[in-house]
Amino acid sequence: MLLSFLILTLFLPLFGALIPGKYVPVGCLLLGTLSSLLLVITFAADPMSSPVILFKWMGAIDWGLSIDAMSVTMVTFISLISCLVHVYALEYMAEDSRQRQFMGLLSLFTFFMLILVTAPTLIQLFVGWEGVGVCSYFLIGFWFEKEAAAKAALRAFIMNRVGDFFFILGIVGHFWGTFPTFVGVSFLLAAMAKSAQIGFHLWLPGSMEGPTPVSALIHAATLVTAGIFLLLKLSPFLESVPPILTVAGYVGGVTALFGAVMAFFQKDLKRILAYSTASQLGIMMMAIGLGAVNAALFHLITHGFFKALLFLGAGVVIHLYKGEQDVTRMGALGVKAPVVYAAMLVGFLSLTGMPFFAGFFSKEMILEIAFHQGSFVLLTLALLTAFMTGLYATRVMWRVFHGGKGKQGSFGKVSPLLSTPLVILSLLSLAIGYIGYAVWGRLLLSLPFPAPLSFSGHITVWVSFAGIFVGYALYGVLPHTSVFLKEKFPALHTFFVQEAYGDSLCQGLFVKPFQRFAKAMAFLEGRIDHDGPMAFVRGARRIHHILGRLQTGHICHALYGLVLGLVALLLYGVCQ
Amino acid sequence: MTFLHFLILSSIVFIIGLVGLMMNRRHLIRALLALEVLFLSVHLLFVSSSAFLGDLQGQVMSLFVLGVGAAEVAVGLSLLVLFYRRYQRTDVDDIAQLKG
Repeated sequence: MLLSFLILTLFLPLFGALIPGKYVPVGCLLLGTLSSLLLVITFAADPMSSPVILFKWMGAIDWGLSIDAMSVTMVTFISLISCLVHVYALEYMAEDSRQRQFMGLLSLFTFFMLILVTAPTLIQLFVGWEGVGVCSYFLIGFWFEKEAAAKAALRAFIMNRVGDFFFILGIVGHFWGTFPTFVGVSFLLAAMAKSAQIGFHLWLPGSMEGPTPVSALIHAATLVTAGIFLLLKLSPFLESVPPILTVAGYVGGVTALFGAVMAFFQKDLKRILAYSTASQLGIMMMAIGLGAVNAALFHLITHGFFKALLFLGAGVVIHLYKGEQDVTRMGALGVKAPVVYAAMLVGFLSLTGMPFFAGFFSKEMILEIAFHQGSFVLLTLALLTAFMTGLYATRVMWRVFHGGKGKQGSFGKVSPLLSTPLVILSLLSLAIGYIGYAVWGRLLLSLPFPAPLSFSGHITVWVSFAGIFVGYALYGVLPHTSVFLKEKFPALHTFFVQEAYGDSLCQGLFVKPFQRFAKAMAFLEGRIDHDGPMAFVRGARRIHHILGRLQTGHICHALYGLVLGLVALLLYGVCQ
Repeated sequence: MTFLHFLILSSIVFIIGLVGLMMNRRHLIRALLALEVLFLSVHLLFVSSSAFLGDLQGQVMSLFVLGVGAAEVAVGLSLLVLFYRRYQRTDVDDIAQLKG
């Protein structure tokens, strides 16, 4: 029963991807989501955790499905988000001539993501890992007519290849069972690349060149969490190597703060959300570093819902502005599009961790664990992140929905296909905290801290609220302050607007040297070809010319050869 | 008249045929005749050995193969006709299209 629901959920998206059509993938995903809900109900009634091996490959590698609390949770979460994004994309991509291809790719991505989260072995996980990577490449570069999109797709792919390389190293090391530190570092680097942690974060803002449904599904809720998922899956192993956990904690903390600061200085609505995603992934990474596996998974789920909501809302905003993504050119949209306003408000309140919204439960839990473990550096980083999150959330809300200078003109009505997913996700963003904490936490996850409202008088909430207040003061009350600060510290401002010169650094440190190296290698390769294999070719040709003359085509010459051969054979026989 | 005599005779005939084929630079019909000589020398050996061994099967087999030989001659002659129609000549030295 359980297995059949899981298999249905898993393979319906693949079916949808293989059958061309606009509505087939949506239908398949709806059925798949239904099946995944049945799956989670069945599982909750009778929890068991055992991998089911379907068949063996080459006599050694198992292919199967792992059924446990984490995979069931992830499967339901991914199906649900993917289903909503599919419905949204029906309308969002309606004017695109390749919409059917788009829907198919989304479904294919969903399939690979489900493979990834249900994998019982690292090899199968790697198959899913690569599958989502390549689908992400196709979808970021979906509008490949734009040079920026094609470049961003390539960049995302190459940066992920670095992670994939470390993943392979990790698998090999894990298989041998030696050098646990090396294996841990490999897996950590793989996860950092996939989850856009600092150093590997550049591809995530770039991937915003893809259509918005892609950003919502892949670059907020699912693909980028694959790295976190990998570490969660490996947490029993990682606990045997404490230094790796410590490093993961600091990487996460630094990424969280870095992402939040960068988000504050971006102008592009989607890039703001991308950096915000990197920041939240950093929080999850930090939770892993603290050993709080369940809290990290919980935050992964809540973040998936509210960040998908934010992206889908941003997509509607961009649609309403006819492709405009610069928040400084928006304004006063709140009255004109109340549904979107409400949805984005729910999303941002959840993101900042305001009480009773989804983000509150998970974020508070992680910070509380940091507090209890006495890791005050991480706690400080997280609190600063919370403050910055409040700040940039307020900035976006103010720029887009309040503010004076907005584009004039009439805005169309928001189609129900666009607004329904927004409403559903808003409700889920409100409810998932309770559901996760009260129902599903008890049933499936046994979350470690029963009372989330105990940590030092909700200091997280106060800090976030301070961020929101400062943001309101900067943009609502004293709009000239930000301009004043900008003019006072131009170098600092440029540093942040240029995203800490990440692009130039990457170009200078990796891309340019590699191009030079490639050029040198190309020259060397030419020489090697000329003097190596091609020399053989030339020699063979020469020999062919000489030997070819022996064959004259005259019958008598052939006969001479024949008779001579015969005589030689006879002589040989006689001499023997 | 022992088997050795027949062996020597058929060998001589065979060598005549072979040398005829190898030395022939002029006419395609000569080549066909030399081939026939070669063919028949082998038959001679076959039939004589059959007779000396007292086994009639060899001679019967030889008759069958002679039938096939007749067909082969027909093919050879038709090739000759085709060759003549195409080149208006029947010189063996002109047949050298299979050179490397």
